[in-house]
Amino acid sequence: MGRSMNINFVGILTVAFLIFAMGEGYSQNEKKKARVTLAFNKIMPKEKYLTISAKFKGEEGFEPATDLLFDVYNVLEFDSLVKMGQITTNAKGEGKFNFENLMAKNADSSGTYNFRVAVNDNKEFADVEKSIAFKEADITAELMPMDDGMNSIKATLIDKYSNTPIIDQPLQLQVKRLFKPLKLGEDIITTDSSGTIIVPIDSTIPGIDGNLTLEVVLNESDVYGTVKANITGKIGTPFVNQSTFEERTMWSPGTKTPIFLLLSFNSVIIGIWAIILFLIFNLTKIYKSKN
Amino acid sequence: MKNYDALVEDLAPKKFGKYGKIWIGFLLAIILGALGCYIVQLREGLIITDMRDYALWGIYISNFVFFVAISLVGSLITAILRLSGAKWSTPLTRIAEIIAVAAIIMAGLTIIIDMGRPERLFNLFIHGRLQSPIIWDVVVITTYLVISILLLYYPLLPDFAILAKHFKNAPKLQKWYGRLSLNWYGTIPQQKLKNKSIRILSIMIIPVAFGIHTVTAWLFATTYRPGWDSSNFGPYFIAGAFVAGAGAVITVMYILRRIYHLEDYITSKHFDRMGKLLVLLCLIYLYFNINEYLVPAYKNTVEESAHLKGLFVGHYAALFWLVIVGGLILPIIVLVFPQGRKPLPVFIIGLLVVVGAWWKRYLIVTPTLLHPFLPIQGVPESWHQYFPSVMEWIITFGTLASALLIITLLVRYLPIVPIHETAMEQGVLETDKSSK
Repeated sequence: MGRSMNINFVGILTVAFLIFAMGEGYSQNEKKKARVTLAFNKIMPKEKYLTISAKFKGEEGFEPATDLLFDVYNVLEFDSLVKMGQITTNAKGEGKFNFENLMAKNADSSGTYNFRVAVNDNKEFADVEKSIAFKEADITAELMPMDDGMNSIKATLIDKYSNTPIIDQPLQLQVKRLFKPLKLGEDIITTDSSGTIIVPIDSTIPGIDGNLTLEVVLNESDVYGTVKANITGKIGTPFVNQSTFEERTMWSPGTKTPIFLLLSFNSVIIGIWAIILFLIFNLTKIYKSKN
Repeated sequence: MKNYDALVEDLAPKKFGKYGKIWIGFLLAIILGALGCYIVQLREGLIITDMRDYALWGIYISNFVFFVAISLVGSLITAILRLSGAKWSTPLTRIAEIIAVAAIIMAGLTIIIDMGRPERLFNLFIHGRLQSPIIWDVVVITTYLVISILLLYYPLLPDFAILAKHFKNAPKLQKWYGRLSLNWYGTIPQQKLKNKSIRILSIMIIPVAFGIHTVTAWLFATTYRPGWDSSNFGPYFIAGAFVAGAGAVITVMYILRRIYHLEDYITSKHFDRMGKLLVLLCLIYLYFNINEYLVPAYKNTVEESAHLKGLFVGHYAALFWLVIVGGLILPIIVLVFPQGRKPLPVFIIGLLVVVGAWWKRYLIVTPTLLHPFLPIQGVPESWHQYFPSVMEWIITFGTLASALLIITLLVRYLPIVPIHETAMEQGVLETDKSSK
């Protein structure tokens, strides 16, 4: 009797373990697989950050992986990891991890920074990790007046670690605007042997009080990521506000009716109603009229 | 030729007979039904109609345009024919003026019916923008109503005096007619004042009448939509209004002539002339129609093409061709022949013209709204179509019945044919007879 109870107890434990194990395996299979992309961005002079974008293949194609918590690690020599912090993706499946103090000690002997982001033990998403390696570059930009009265911009791209110019790299020149930048020129401008580009600026570009903020961008470089430098100067055409908001127009509110309309409409109406009143007055005259 | 007393006896207003009372009861029943529906609309809002984001103007607005069109007849018959010295139109002037007053009253009320929140009507005057043709329409409708009433009232002064004397045995009527005659003695100063005032009114009503319908046309033409985007819309609407108004006068004059036995006053000659006038007006309107459809069809932009296809061969084709052929081309063909201008054929044609004119306004308003330049995204499929709901129909029939009721009541208490003018034209007027 006692022996059979022991067997039953072991059997129940075995079945329970199997069910538990299968259940675990099943839930792992059901977890979504996030696809992660990383990019390094630097805005001169100091702003540096890592952008994380996570998506998963849902029923309606790729959908953003929201509220996904990433651990951010600095990968040092001998593959040792130093946790730098955490970042959670927003409704677009994106996160921005700011590097407050990115120093030489975070880089390896060649000046390359290695970072890894990882998602662990998420209820909805399977574990995932992604690495990125980049070097740091600087862009210096300055405005230079030209002989014909126009201005040009001179921008130089250098490798920060070796302090050497970066040659044959395409730089994009654009004007900062409220929603999207206004790209200047269609040709790709590549840096010369001194890591420099010089581009004349069309003086007819409108800006508030003639001020333009020019952006020089090294865009999504495999080695350096995205690097951007801004420079502002009075080199454009002053923007003339053409708003009719304060004027009397046909599309203004009732308090700003055009004068010509007020005068013509009211004079016609007053004229007609004056005649109507005269005709009503004539009725009273008829009423009072004697022989 | 009849003597004065016989003429007054013929033309004085008469009590309703059995059929008259049935007619009033019939109209009241429709109006009460419409009032019931309107109360539901007030409570629940315009959701009881089939108007949605696409067809935001429906049968109410087409009905409004119809009433405005009909009201123009007052200026045509009374003012234009009077100023041009067409004496033959005298027996028709009162009918035209009565129709004009009834139609313009109902045009104003129909606009209020179309408003989702009529209790906010006053805001239109407080916050209205003078730049908007809607404000111009409100002002010009009010002005035209007052002028139409004055134009109806002034020629009635001597008639009221005559009726006050005629209804000696009906003290109440005599009292009212006496008051309304404003102490009319037919004195020379009174005659001068009356004639001068009528002349001023006749001149003034023409630009105001043109204004009312031009502004109504601008409500559409200033809106950038296929079918409405035309600089010709003002004259097009005016031409159509004259057709509708002339048709209405012919219809009403035939019915009143039959009921009140006015064959001696409204003769075959009047039908013949009104028939000729209607042919002329129909031809002008046909010209404008060709102009309105041919030019967009020639340019054939995507949106205009969809709109015109809907009218010519699409969803609205049957109605469109019925209106064009039945309400415009057929009248021209029939009325060109003298036989077609006999009273009965003219009456039938007049009726066809009026019905056609009503549906024509429906065709101007609705199909255009269903083909906007910028389609609305994410709306139910049913919103792409429009056909009035039962309640909309009942309310609309209520407004039409109300217009007919106003005409009926005015006809009951006012002489249909101007007594004083007719007597003068026939040379049987005795000046002392028109005085008290």
